Amino acid sequence: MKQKLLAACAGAFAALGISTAFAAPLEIQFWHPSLGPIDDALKQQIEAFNTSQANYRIVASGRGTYDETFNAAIAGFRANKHPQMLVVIAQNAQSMLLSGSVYPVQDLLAAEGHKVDWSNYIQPVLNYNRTKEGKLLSLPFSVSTPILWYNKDAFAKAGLTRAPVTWDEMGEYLTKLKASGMECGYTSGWQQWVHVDNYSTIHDLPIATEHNGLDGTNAVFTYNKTAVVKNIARLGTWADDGRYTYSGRQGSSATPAFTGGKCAMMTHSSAVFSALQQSAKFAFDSAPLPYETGATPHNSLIGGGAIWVLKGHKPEEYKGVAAFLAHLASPNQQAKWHQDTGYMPITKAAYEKVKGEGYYDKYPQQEVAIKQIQRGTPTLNTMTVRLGNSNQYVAALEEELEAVWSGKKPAQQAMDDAVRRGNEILRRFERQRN
Amino acid sequence: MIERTPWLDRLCHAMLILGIAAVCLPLYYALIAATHTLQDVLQVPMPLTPGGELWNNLKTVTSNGTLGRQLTNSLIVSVGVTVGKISVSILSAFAITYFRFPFRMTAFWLIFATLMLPIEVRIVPTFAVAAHPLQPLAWLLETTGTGGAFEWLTGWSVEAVVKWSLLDSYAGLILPLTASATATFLFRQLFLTIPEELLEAAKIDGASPMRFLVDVLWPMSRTNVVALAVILFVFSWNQYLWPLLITTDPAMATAVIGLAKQISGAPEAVPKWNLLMSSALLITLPPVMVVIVLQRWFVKGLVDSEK
Amino acid sequence: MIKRVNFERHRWLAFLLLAPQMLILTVFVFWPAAQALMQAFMISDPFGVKSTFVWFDNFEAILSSPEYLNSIWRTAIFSTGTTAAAVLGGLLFAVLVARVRRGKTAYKLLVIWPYAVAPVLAGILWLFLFHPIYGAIALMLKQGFGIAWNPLLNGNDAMLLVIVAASWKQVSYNFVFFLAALQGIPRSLIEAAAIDGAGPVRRFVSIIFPLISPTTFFLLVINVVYAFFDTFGIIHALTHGGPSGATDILVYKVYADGFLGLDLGLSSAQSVILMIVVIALTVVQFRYLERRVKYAA
Repeated sequence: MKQKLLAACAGAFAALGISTAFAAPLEIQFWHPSLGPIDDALKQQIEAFNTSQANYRIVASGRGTYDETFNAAIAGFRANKHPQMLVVIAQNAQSMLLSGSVYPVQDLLAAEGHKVDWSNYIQPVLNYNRTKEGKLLSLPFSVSTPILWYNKDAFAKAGLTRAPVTWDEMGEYLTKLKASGMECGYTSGWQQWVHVDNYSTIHDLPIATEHNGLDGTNAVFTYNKTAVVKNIARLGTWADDGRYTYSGRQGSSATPAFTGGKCAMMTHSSAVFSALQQSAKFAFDSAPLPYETGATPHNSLIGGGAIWVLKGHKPEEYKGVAAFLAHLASPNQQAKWHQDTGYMPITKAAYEKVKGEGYYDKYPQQEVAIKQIQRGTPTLNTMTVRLGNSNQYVAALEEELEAVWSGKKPAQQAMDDAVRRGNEILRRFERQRN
Repeated sequence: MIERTPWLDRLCHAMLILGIAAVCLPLYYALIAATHTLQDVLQVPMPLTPGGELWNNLKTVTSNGTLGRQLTNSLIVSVGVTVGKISVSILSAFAITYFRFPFRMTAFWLIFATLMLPIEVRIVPTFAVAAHPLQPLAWLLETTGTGGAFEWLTGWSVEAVVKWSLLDSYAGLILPLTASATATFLFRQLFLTIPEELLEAAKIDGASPMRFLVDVLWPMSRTNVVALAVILFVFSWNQYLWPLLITTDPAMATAVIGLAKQISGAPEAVPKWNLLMSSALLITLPPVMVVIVLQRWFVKGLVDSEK
Repeated sequence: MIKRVNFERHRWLAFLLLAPQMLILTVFVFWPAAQALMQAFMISDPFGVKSTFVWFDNFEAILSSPEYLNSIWRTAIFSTGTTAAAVLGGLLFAVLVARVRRGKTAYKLLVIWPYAVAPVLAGILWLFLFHPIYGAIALMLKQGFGIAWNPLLNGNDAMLLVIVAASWKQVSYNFVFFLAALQGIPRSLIEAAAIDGAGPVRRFVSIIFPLISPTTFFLLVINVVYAFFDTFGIIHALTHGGPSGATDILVYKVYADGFLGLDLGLSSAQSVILMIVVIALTVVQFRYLERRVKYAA
């Protein structure tokens, strides 16, 4: 009787579709944001690993945006149903690091007996996700850096033959482009990433104290006291006279403004390359981000996702995770990933391989980012931004930037307000983790 | 016929046509986008008339099977929530309007209070509960030391009970949405307008409460149930925040979530408006069809009740 | 309100009938809401590792921030605008459709369908039309009429856009209810008034409107609740609360701080404030409106 009842219950539960949370052994979960067209490239990478050996099976699932993926993982973590591997956007590194749920990638690979020569990696790419002592926390995955994209046809029409090198030169270019009939001279995706974060690192300026938070959670924003203010004020002038067109937060609406032929120049992630190839009906090229006249430019910062390994799983599963990460970092996979998606390779070997095959002769646009990221010697200002609650302080900063573009606030006041709000957010982060 | 005012009639038609043109504008542009290639859609200005690419676009969006699976999920969830919500609220509205019992007003206000506790307000803890609904039971078993007896009785281990989860399940998608103040409120209003004599007559006939519900109230509420079902079906089909969280597996996601994630998920890409709008049309079609097809029934019900 | 005649001897049945609703409410509504209340007094990290009880610190942080005060003001504008536009729009369409004789069914269909569109998709549709970079209508406004429409930078444009998108969907909803109410009014009543010489406007003001006031009252409650809570999908798709916080309504801030910012304490404190606001709003509506509402039955 009891058996029958149980069977009936089980049937009822099955009919309701209630999952019982029993994972098949050695299936390894890999949660990542759905990155659109490049999902196919990821599928191929995973398929290659799954067929290359019989012990582990990587189960990848796209969970929406970076934020949604991160939320799903937190919820999973609280319910003890988190994946072994998770892709997290660069700026959330600090939240991950202090969550107590991270198994550092360098420790994992060492423990599982993978001998990795970290010096063979492109250092500024790794630096973003390293501890102060230099230990690698997560494996960079969908890596990009902002560069300048320009419409060659529009340039030709305005009598311009090469990209501007400095911001001052860019201002002159924009005047010419507008005079030649361009509706919009310049627009930007990820305005905060380009004009505050990367502007600072390229000019070796601190964004916050404690080496941008690397040395401790007590960091305080300082960009309202650096040349960033001058940069924002200049952009405000350009917004006022129509040289700069604001196209919204994040990255998605800057790209159509450029590919639609409206804006002659755009600063945006290096990874927009494939999107531009698909939808731009004109000749375009890329160049490093402009810098100030007389400055010696340093490396830019990376953005995009890194793979973090989470604690709380079985030892044999971590063996599989390590094997998979080693697979991803192999030169062949890296080279293919770079060419398929437009994201940057993370090892020198992959870069050399792609270069040797003549890829950059055909697509020189793709090499600009790699050169820019390796420019100069990294300093403690240019390694990383390790600050908590990044979504909140970025949102606050973007609101203040909008106030500048619309002429509501002068640049200095807007940056002062952004810093004040940002610091409150950082203090709350400190209290959350006390 | 009340009076003849042709100018007023014409004005009415003119205003209606104008208003409807404005209301239908977004749909028209979605249709245009869905019938062109991406390159045409991205043109400035966009074409103003439909093109011939609709079939190709639809083929592209349905080719990998995910959309079909998600549409099925949406259907299961919508029907589940609609049926569940109507049954639950009709029963409680019946209890509140036709019975005298202790805490009756408390029950009414508790239900009413949920209007002020929408899911957006309590989303994180609701998610925690849905992820582990039996956590309190497990805790009870552990502290009272009756875990062993429980395992012997049911054949389930306490650990399995703790891990039992509504995540990525139809039950998880449906159950938390089946409570409804609005629907209870509506049935209560309806029951209040039903003449008292009906119950008096039924009581004289010796009808039991359930008999009264089935034979008298149900037939009288049927048109309202249909009207409400249309609304609830559409409401559940279009749910956003809850399915977004309770499903982490794309195979369990509803169609709206699937599309929203496609639009927001690729910051580096140019949105493929032609494909997105094709999917949007497909996803919007079922609720629109429900509204349109059942509308005649709905109107008939209204006309009938006027007699 | 309870029926004068009722089943007074079936208490156990009443409890049984209420049980499913109460069970679901307790597990999925009240218990989580109580936890939200608790969270409002704590600062915790999103991973659930650490929580500290901080008394009213979260409320203090919220209420002392100029951005939150701005958010309250923007919410007042947004919910008044959306409720007014949606209720008036629905009423206007209902009155017109109730009046015309030809094409009634077609008109009805064309007004009702937007109701079937998901809010987040509605947001996306409107964005597609009104985005200053690629929106077809936005370009038309600019090139054809010289209107510098820019919801990305102009707060008023942005507010107008979200009100239009949010009320667009609700107009259909209100229309359905108003039309049902209008068609429920006995024709004899209106005919009698017409015979007495009351014109269309006079008839509407003195007979029709009082008769549909229960519907109006119900719709006001529903629409305010809608504007407060169900609109974050629209804001999220259209403006992200921008520019410079111009459309940063309270519920979007709750969502942004809780789900994007992952600050549970701050977000919960805002939720509690929001709950108090809606409770107050509902009480006021009940107290003052119900007295003036003339119930038909």
